[in-house]
Amino acid sequence: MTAVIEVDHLTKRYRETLALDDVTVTFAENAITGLLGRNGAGKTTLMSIITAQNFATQGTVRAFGAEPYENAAVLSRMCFVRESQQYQDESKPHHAFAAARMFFANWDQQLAESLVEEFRLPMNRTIKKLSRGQLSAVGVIIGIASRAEITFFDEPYLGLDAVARQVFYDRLLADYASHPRTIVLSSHLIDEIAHLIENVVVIDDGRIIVDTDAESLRGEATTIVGERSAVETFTLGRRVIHTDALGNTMAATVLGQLTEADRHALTQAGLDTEPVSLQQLVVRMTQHAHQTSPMNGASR
Amino acid sequence: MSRVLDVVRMHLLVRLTFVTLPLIILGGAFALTLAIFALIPSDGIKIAGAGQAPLWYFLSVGVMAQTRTFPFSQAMSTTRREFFLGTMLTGLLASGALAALFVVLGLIEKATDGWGMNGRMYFIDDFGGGNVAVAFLAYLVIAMLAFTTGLTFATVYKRFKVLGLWAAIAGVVVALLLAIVAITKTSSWPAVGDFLIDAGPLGLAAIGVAVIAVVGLADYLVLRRTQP
Amino acid sequence: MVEEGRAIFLQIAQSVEDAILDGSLAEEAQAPSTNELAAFHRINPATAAKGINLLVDKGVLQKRRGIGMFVATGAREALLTERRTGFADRFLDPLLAEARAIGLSPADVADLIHQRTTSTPDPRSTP
Repeated sequence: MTAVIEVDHLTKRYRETLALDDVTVTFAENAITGLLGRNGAGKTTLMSIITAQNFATQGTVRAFGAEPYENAAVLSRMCFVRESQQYQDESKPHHAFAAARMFFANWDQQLAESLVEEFRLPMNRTIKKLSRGQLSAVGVIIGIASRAEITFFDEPYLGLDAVARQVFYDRLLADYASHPRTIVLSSHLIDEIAHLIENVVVIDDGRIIVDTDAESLRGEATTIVGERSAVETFTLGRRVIHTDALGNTMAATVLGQLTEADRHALTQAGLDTEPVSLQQLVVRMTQHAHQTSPMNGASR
Repeated sequence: MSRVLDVVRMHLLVRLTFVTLPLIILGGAFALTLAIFALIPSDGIKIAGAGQAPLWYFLSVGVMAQTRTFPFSQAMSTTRREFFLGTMLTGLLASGALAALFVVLGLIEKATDGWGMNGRMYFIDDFGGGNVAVAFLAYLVIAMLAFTTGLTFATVYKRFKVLGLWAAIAGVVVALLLAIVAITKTSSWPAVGDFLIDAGPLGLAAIGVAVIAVVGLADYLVLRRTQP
Repeated sequence: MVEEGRAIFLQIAQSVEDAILDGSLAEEAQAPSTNELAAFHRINPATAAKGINLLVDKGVLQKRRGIGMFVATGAREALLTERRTGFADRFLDPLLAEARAIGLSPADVADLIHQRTTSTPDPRSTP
């Protein structure tokens, strides 16, 4: 894996709050990485410092091996449209696309136009008067059609209905397949993007708590269901990240891949297993982040 | 360099800030001033300062150039330097266009004996001393100074919020007051007057350019650490 | 389409194997490309590539330079052998475990299997 973005001991402090706390992470070149975490976890701050829109309190950021700040050679190869992006007053979507066409060398006008049609984006209404979903569509279209070598999507689905979100995921995947590039997809709708992403970075309270590839994270947690004492016996000494109880039945989510011996023991004890989706795993880990030790680089 | 020119094109994509609103102000001020001239029942020279409004309006053009376009320029992955240079260049182009319009209107004013009513609103002779090129330069420097000042205060506001803006305004006012006090104390007003008269229109324009450079540099330094 | 809890690349590999087994993907035929699989299953192309590589390593698919992936000769036979070997592990063990839990003996299970196969006709014999 070649790292195209290197973030080294990055800290961002706003007066009393610590938005990013000594973050060290890399993003793989030409891969889709999911940047997951709750609202306010630090996702947007991280992306905005990487693109030099915001400034670090401490630490360094490098993209394509160089510092992005005031570096046109680096910045021109990156695209970051914020979730709360402000556009020029009175501008219409076609103005924003005309600007993007000037600044992004790989801009594909035909692609942009077909996306406009698929999202049914009204081109002659001022951006201010667009609905939340249409506003998101403007950012999504700039992000995809710019074909920047590093593209950030900042919760791109806000206000988009299920159909439009599927359009986004499908078009992103198709365009990525034909034009591989580095994509960082920030989201808290994890189930929707779980299959699209190759790598997972989970950020919680300004700290990276997971940084691994998505495949090795699948099966990294299992929920054990059955009679309470049997569940407690099996989970003894394992890292339990969540428990639920219903009468004498207990469900415990444990970390770590289950071995053949484990499965045999489970069958013997009459316990059932349920798979844990990426979303459930991240929810559990960010609920209990203070109790869970980091899983950085589990299998990179 | 081409990305600086792209910033200029980006500013002009939506014509409202740099074209439409200044023209509306120009037309409005012109019509209003003509109406006032017509209402004054005297045959003497009628003077109206409202004709100068478009020049001072460039203060607001500078404000809008920053507030409306800087956050978007960041999404277009421009550097702050590119944005600054492109914005100043756009301001210069717009100031030049306005100055040219003023020259044309000033010449018409002169040729028609003050719009047939002995009115004065473009003061082309006062600005240029009879020289059209000097008048053009004077209009240009005033518009550009207004533009740069608006731009800088807007950037200060964006970076340091309301408190910083008031601190900056207070700082400028205090500096001007101190200068006035110092000149009065040393009884140098006649010397200052002589200096300004000796400088002549071109000298004054040069001073204006120097002030624009200082204010512009301040804008750039503040912008370097401003977030969208 | 893709289920939770199992590595997606394994599921992709299995879906291609299933196609070879049921004959919809013939030997010597061109296998779907990584991007086609990614688009169809709505998954990351790198994950699809991992599944394809698994099949190449197993000898089920063969890479032909500049053309694409093709189903290897004898792949179907090899897969059939593999699946038959794993059949007891994959299907009989869970079946017998459940039978034991509800008090059915292996003989009861065998009877049930007999009943079902006589009452339900083989779908392949009746089009």
